[in-house]
Amino acid sequence: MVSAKMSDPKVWKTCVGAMVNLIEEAAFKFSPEGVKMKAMDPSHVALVDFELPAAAFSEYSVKQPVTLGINLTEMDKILSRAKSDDELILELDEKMNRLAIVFKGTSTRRLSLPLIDVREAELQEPRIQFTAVAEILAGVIQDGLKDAELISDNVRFEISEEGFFITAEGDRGSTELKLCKGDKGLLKLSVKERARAMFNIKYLTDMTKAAGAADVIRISLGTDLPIQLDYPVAGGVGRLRFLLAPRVESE
Amino acid sequence: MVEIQSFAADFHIHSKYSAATSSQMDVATIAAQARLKGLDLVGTGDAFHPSWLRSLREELVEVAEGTFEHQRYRTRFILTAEVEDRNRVHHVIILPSFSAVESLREELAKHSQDIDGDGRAHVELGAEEIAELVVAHQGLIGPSHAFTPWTSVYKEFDSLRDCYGDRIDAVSFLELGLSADTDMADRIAELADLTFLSNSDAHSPWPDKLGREFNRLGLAEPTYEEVVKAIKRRDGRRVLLNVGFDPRLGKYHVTACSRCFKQFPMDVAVRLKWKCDDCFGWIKKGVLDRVNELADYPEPRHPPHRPGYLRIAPLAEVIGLATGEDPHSPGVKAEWEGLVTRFGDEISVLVDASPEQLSEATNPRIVEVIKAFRAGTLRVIPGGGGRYGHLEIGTEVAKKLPPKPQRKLTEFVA
Repeated sequence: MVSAKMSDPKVWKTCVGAMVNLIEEAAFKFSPEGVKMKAMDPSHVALVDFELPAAAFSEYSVKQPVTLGINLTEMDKILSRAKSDDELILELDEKMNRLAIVFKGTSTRRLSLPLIDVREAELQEPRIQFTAVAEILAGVIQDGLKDAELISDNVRFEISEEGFFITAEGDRGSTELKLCKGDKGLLKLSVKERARAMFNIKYLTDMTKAAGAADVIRISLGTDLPIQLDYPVAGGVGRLRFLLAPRVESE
Repeated sequence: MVEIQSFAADFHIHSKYSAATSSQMDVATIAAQARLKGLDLVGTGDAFHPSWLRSLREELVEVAEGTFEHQRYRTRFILTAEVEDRNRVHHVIILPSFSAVESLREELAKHSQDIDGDGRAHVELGAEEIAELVVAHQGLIGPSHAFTPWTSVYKEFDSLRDCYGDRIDAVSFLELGLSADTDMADRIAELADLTFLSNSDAHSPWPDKLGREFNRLGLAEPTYEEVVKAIKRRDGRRVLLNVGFDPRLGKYHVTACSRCFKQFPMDVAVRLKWKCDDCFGWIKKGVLDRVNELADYPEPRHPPHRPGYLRIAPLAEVIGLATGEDPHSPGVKAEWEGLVTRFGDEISVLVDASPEQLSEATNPRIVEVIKAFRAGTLRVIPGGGGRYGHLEIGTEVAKKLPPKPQRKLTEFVA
């Protein structure tokens, strides 16, 4: 039996919205402790790691661990039907092999999604020694990516003692976003060693677009290593983490 | 003297109302994607479906007889549909007007349980009767993906006459399908007089599906009337070029198991009574073997009217091969959009742009793989049993390639 209720559907909706452009199908593991999902995109360029403990739900009842295969594109479409003041309830219909998504507000609306077989290949997870970490307002990163997108497909992230930088260069010009210590958008900076690496903008845009401008994203970086983005979910109780492999910088 | 120009057309697609199609097969998305793909004309597909027909009426404007245009993207459409006959043979139908669509729909509905529900309706009539009705409505008809093993004319019959009977005269084209090309089809004598069409049969609007096969037509203007002349090869209008998959990339090129995709020589499949010796799934006869059975000639004999056939692969797949990413990944999509926007359409990138021009627009690895594709030095792993063929970079080509620009997370596993 799986029944999980949230008073605010935005939490689940935001997380699915951030995953859906990277992964089409996902295996969500529901256990008495909470929900977990970890998967790589088909190209092995990006990894999504999602955890939402039982405490993040207003009511949560899962007797036995169960893995539910879900088509994220279809779930995202259903979640777009949620109203902001609806309660969200996820319920497993074992008989029909479906997940019911219930919106409870001025009326009770029940939409259901067929469960699918998702092959769980053994995940080879990278272990990265990051050398610099910054906590930044999501809106600032989104602005830096939008600027960079005007002139390039790739963007360079850099964290140093001076601050955090997003730069891009191309035939059409260059862009730079600078956040120095003390700037409002930079909430925390921790640098063992200056770090910089280049990434595909499209992946980063997909990873960050679900965040609200005022959300805080924790960025972990190492030179020419994958970048790690952490969002606090449900007031920091849960976690949404992305890893993205870097691009090789041309000479 | 009328000036004949080249226009790209894909006459066979399906809307979101056909089974197993993308929910994004709506009029505006198809019109927008067709423009990016370089298609001037698209068949509407599914014209007999009531909801699709309503969308077509609402979202398109008639700009010439039987010719409809999406006002924002300027993509032109002509009215087409595919039906399945009582023998489970599929036929492409091209019609001149909404009134012809509605009238023919009414006739077919008398023999169909699902014409209101499925974009590709099943009709309990033989091909001869359907052809008769199409001709009575001034339309054109021809067999869809003519050699495939599930729903084609040659899976059921050994000749077009056996299928269309006395209305063989009504058949004005044959659709090659993804797993066959002109060289294969022109080994069959009875096809010499037919115009060949290369269409996508797309179920989603993305660039590796819509327009993955298309026709370059020589027309005075992109209209229904001109298309009919081109298919019938009248007044100097004709198909100038069939552009389609290397047939080995199609889903049914070689004989293979439809469950585990193990490939079999024809004599082994016969000996096994078409049951896979690994998984006991059904073995489906490949288009290559079916053409070999039907062939009158060991080598193709192209009639003088036959245009060339340009073998292509989806650009997104070629880019993905170069970068090591999935063809639908954000990275590939970004590269695809960048190249297509710069050069105008996909074929210009795959075939026409010089290596120098490509080098200015994208990374060296993609340029090298496009060059290898043009030179025919990529390895083609043939498809069969329902699984597409795919391209691989052979050792010789790999030696020349610069390192992959996009690294993978798996490279960082300790």
